[in-house]
Amino acid sequence: MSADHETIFEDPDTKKGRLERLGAHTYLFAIAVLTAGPYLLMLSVSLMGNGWNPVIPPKVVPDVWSLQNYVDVWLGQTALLDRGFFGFFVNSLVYAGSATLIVLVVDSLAGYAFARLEFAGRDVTFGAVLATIMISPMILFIPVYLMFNEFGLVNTRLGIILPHTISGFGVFLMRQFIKTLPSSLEDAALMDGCSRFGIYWRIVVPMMKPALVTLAVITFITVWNSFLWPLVLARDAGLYNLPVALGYFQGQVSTLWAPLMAAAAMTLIPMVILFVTMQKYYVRGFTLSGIKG
Amino acid sequence: MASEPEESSIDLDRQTGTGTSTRFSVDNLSLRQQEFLEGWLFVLGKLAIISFVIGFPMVFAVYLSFTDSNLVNLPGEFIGLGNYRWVLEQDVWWTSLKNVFILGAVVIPANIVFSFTTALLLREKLRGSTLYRVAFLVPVAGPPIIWAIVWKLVLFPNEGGIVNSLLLAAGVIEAYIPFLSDTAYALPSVIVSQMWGFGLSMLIYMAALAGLPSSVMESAAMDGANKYQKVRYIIWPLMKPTTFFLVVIQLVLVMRMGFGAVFVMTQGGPLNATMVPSYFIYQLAFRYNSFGQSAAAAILMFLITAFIALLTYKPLQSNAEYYQ
Repeated sequence: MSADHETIFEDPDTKKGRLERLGAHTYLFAIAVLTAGPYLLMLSVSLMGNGWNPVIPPKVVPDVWSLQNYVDVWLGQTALLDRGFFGFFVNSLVYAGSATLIVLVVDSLAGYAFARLEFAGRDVTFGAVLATIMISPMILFIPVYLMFNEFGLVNTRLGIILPHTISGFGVFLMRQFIKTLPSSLEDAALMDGCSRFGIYWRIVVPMMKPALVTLAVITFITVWNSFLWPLVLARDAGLYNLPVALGYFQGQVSTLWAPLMAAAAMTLIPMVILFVTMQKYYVRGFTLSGIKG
Repeated sequence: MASEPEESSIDLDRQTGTGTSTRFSVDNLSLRQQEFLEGWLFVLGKLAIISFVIGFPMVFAVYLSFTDSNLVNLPGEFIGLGNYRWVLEQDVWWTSLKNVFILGAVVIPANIVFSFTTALLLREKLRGSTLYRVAFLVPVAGPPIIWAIVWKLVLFPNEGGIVNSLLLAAGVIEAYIPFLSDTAYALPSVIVSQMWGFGLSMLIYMAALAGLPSSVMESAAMDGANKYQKVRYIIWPLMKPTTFFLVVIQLVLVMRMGFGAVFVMTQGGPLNATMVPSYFIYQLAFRYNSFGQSAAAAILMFLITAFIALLTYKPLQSNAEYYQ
């Protein structure tokens, strides 16, 4: 945000200005408690060396501070998780990383064609690609499961990655962005006999970097947080990603809250860091699509 | 794709779209034909993925919905509209629809109110703005499943529960409330837990507010408008396209709401009090292995989504044009 925009509140030195700020802080703080409060409790419980149990008054702050829960969960030394969390972490990285790579390649290629080339059937195809945004995984998971079963893709990494690359959103984003770029350089290269792929690779991709970062961030976070597809397609616990591992272990009969919260914190914190540092890019994804105010 | 960059002079033939092309090793293609070929080659990857993971499965889902397929009986006998009739006869189905619409009716307006007001206040250069912003972004940055797990801990039903203890200490309640296992409290509890995912909308409002010309605000000040009037009659109307976009996106996705929360916190219970369509479909498939019925319910859900999308498409379109 620029520092020189017009604000609504009075000067902070005036009495009215101070009151207004006090009111704003009260409101924002109350909402922050509701959005982030439960996550702070998660962090606190994850640091409880003696575990968390229901007592009066409720245990909110650790009496013994310890990182032991993190170590136990990471190495799979708790009754809750007999499998090292390390493995789920690697799975999540592999799924999110691979899906992001695939999406960047196929979506930018398709987006370029939809933005710049003229070919019969283009608009209909683009409409069909866009319509995929509407389709919920709920309608797909049974037939995809049965089909993937036939092709030997159930319980494989490839099978888990593929459904995360279907969204038409990235194609839309790429097309919109390329349409805002001047095409004179591409035309000149075409005249000079550069191949279409050469134009895409040497001219369009370098100019598209901001949009590619946007798409990469959005895809990576979405796949990292994905729950339903890995839940349906990974039968072997060795293929679970972090959310599925969490979902599975939180359902155990007696929940061991302290290690569970450590596991949740390890899943969440990388995404919060990524999201907060990349929020500008995340927003750009929406503003680029041309429907902002 | 082979290129022949050595031929660098402008080829007039190519401009007119006749003559042979030198960009492909395949000769004798007109420019138009070549562009046709290139176009389809470029979109091929995406189309292959979409046909394989969406196209064929969609057709297959429609087929399954007309059969009595289950785990041991695949692909099952054709039974016409039997599954659809069955789903529509289930009270749970109607309960789940009612629940998801109540959820949407609370969560979507809450999303708009919280995201607009916080975006507006965070413009005011308050101390700690960054910290607030991070706090608001946490629920949407992480998996919905963790969001649900932390709320399950917060709503803990007896002595360890932080909400229960606070309410008890404040004298609001006289005994611990089993928030997630009492039919009267379960749905409201799930809804309240889901009201705080407005971070992304807030970022979008912030971008829109940053794009407002400062002259707008200055002229309002000259006209003697007070702050409330400024916000209500100038800023809010200018945000209309953004608001509209945010509402439409959430309306189209409303049928998917609550899956993670219900999966973790209540499994649709108690007595289906918190059932939502997505969890109902999931349960039919993976708990009862009733693929045909599950597919029929999923297709009904899809039809409702498509209907909502159709209703909102025209206004969204004209709204976007109006603003450009």
